[in-house]
Amino acid sequence: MTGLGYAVDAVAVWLSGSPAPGWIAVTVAVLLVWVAPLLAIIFPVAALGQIVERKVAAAIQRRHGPNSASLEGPLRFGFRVLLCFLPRATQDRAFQRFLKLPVVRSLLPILQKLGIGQLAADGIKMLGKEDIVPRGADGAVFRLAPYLALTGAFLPFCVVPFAHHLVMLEVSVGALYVIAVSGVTVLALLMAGWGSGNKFSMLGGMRAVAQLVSYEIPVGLAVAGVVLWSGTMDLHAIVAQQYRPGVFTFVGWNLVQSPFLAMLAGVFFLAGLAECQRTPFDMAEAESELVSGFNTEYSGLRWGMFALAEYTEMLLIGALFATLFLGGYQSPIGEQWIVGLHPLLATLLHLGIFAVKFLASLFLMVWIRWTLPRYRVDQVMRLCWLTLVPICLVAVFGLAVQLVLAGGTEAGTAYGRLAALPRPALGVLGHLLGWAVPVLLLGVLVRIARRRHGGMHPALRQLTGGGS
Amino acid sequence: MILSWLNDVTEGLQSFFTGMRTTGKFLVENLRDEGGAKAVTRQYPLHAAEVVGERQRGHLHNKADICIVCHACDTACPVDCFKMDGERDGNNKMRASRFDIDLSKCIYCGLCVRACPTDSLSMTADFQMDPRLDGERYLFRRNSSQLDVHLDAADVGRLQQLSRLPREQLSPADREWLDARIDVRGQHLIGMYGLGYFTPEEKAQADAEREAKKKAKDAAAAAAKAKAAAEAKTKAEAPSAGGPG
Repeated sequence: MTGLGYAVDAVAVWLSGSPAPGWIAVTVAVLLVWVAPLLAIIFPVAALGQIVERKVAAAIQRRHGPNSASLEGPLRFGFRVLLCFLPRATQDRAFQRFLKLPVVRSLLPILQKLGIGQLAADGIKMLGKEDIVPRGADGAVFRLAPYLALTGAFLPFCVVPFAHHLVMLEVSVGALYVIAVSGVTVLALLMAGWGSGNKFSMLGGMRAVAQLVSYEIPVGLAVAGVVLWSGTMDLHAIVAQQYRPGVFTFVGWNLVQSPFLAMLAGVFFLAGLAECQRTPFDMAEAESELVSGFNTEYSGLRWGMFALAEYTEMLLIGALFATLFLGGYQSPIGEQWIVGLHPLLATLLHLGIFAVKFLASLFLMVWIRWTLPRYRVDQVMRLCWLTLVPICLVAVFGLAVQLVLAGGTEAGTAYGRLAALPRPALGVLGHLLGWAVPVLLLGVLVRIARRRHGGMHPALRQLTGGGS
Repeated sequence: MILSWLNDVTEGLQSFFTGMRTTGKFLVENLRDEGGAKAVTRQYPLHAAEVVGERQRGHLHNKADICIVCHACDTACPVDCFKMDGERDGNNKMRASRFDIDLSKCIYCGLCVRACPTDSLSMTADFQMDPRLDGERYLFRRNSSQLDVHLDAADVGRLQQLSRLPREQLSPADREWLDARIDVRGQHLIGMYGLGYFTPEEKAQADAEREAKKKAKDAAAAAAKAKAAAEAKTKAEAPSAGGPG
């Protein structure tokens, strides 16, 4: 047990006052040390994701996005609640004072322009809505589904390393755990569709589940490729293995280690989009055509939980992508100096770098959403089974071949106990060959394919302005 | 088969990147320009539209000095929003002494403009009807001479002047004068002050007139129908009486 495990032990011992704390003390300690901070971080970031989404969408579509919701109302409400022991007039005077502070006066309009006020407005709206359970619904199943969806989205975060040893649970099968617990979402969607007592909701749920189950395969294969390369399922170890001494740390990232890993990264990202049911794979919801699937009957906060689960899953895919392919929390350049810093400073830097990485993939997801139209349901399935899965199989096979050819291991990471883990010893020449041979081969194949099968569709050629 | 598959995949990738490049270009462009000046949507009360379409159908405007009070617009109007009176001037020309357009009825169809023989009626580009623009007084910006025709010139000046001031700053006499012309709370407001205003009595009278007109019209239509039916009957009988000839 490492990292926060010690903190949990310490808190449990302190709570119970005995060296061997009972299960109640341990549970409370886990809630305090793990769950509360995780929720406190993930919830606001997921909510922020929504604002990012709306602002980027607006910019792409030449609109303003949310910029009119004032923050004054929510702030006034906050003042009333905080100062409820004072008379109303005093509260108002204090609030007026607060509004006149130079910081507040300059910051409020900016926050309003950024649409932060909209977040509060949406939240209050959602809280105020009636929680409707349809008469024909299976009450318990219907009510439970949103919680499960949120659980499925939150649980994987337990094993994601946010910084060196800043991980909720340092399990040795982290990659497996992530894939296993995110399966809870599948169950949640099925329950939502079934429990609604509405045949269209059930069809929507089935659609979503079929998609999720199918896309688990490319995701699993991509993770398997990384595991094959790293020789471990421990996410923390996978991150540590991408460390390289020297200025250019990023040469150790899995994304640039091998062309096959790069292919797997692409597939992982796409399949991850499908896993959190984002455009172009949001057949499950299909807002404009089918007006929601499994969540048609949901309203108010329960519906909000599904939305929050979606954004949390986006964050999760971003975090996993960064962990598996982009060196996790490590800086792209000069990681060895950061490691040498004071632990607290290093941890903060790592947290920042990690945030940048997964916010970047969040941004990419939003960008894709406002670019591509939605796939039809059969196209979604065909893309998975006839394109992504074969690519994954080829990539994993190529990766295995590369590993066998390379042979041997290379030791020496910055992180003590991981130093002895096996890792491929390719050397510079090996890396160059490892990139050159597959890329050349693929290039030649694509060339032939292009020549044989008539190149681009005429309409597309016109769009891209020439091309083969 | 594999080759055609590979071709499909590369095509898909290529089109994907084309799409991403297109939207990315938009994104950068729009983030760069300050305050969304290039944005298609405008924040209406803050930034009014700078360019209005050439054929924008905004408020009606009547050039009272060339209007001949021919009632062509009144005839063409599908919603009866005109009220007008005329009198002969020194040259024995018909001129409008009163020309009211009830903007609460006007549907901005532009049929009156087409009907106008002297081109005195036109539709302006102005579309703003927000009462708040004029000090919460339910007054509307008057960009036409219509009001001027309806009220005495002195009254118009006074009205415009007073209506710009905050109500609290008015002297009691002014306030009384203004309230006699404008209903502050808009409770008895009928029609909008596109030009002048209608009192409830006037409104009732206009309604009665319209009702009577409508009844007369209906009666005429019924009579015409009966007549037509009778004619058709005689016509239908006529050939059979004449026989094949």
